[in-house]
Amino acid sequence: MDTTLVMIVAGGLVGVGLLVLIITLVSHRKHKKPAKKAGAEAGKDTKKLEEAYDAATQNDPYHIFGKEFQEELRNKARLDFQRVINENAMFLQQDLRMTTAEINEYLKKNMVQKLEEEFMEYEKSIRDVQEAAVQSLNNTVAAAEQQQQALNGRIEQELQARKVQLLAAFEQNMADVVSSYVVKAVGEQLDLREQLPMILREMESRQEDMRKDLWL
Amino acid sequence: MSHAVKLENEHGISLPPSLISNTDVGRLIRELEAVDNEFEQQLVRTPDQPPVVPSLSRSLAALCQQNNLQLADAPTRTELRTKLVSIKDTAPVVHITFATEVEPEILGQLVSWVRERLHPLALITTGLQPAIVGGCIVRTPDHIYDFSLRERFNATKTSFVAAVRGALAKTPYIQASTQQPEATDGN
Repeated sequence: MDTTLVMIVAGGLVGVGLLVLIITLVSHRKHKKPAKKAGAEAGKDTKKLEEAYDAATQNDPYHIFGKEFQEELRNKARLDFQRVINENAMFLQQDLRMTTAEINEYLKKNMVQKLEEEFMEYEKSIRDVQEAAVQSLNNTVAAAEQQQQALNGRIEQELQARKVQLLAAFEQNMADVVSSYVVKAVGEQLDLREQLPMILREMESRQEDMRKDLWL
Repeated sequence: MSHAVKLENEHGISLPPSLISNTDVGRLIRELEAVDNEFEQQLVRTPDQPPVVPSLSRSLAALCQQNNLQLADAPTRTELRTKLVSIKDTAPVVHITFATEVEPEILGQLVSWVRERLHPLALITTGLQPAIVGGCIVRTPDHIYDFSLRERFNATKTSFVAAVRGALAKTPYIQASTQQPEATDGN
């Protein structure tokens, strides 16, 4: 953008220089026409005058005009130059305004577009981040649920194993438990006299085995 | 009801129910030695009078009555002593463990049964173990025969556990918890 502005300003300055050069050449031609006419009317003295003129101009380019006329030409040139400068400055100002307006328009358009693109990118990034966060949360929740299920399963298994162990221990010690209970419940009430028939029946059932043991 | 054992044995003697253990036989041997000494003293003190049998313990008296032994006769005493020593050393011993203290009468019945059915010279020693709850445990030289209530509990443990499980299964909470491991095992 800065490069464009510099080129426009440089083009304006070059145009102004060309205008000044053209004006200077035109003004020289207007002053030369009366000299040629005078030379033609003079006839023979033309060559002499030209030589004198060349000699005089060789030493002093402005000696052919009077000081008032030179001053007038100088003023006129100054005024013309001032006018050209003003016109070019006006043109330049208009160009600058137009360029500035175009630049503003361009900048506005580009900036708005750029901002819209940036906002879109920003929104897209926000959406991506949100989706990533939601995905991460979902993954975390799924992992937590999975761990919870695994933990529940393991606790359940350990509970069942413990229960099986307790049942096995209970069954293993069933006789002791029942014996202890019976001893506490009936205690001395278990009379050996009443048990004697049962004991004798039991011993009779193994009588032969015991007899063999004793007769060995 | 206790009664004497009339079985024939290599010693030609039957033991009364009151004579139960090795200790009793040993005590009887010592008593017999004392009786022998008493007769010798009487023979020294009053050689011209017939010997008077001293008062005997119930076991020794029963033994003499059961076997028709006359302790006034010296060879009979010597033979009896020899037999008792042999019995003490060689007779089979049956150890019976009870849950409570056993009364002498019941023990006498058991001794009679053992000597009548198993061995006429068997000696019985007793033990006490309340943990067996009831019944007895008979230990012969080679085997142990458990006739205790504890053994009965053990023998019927399976059916008892099945009954307990059946009762527990009727409880909703227990039913749910007992059915779950089967499903887990199935997986």
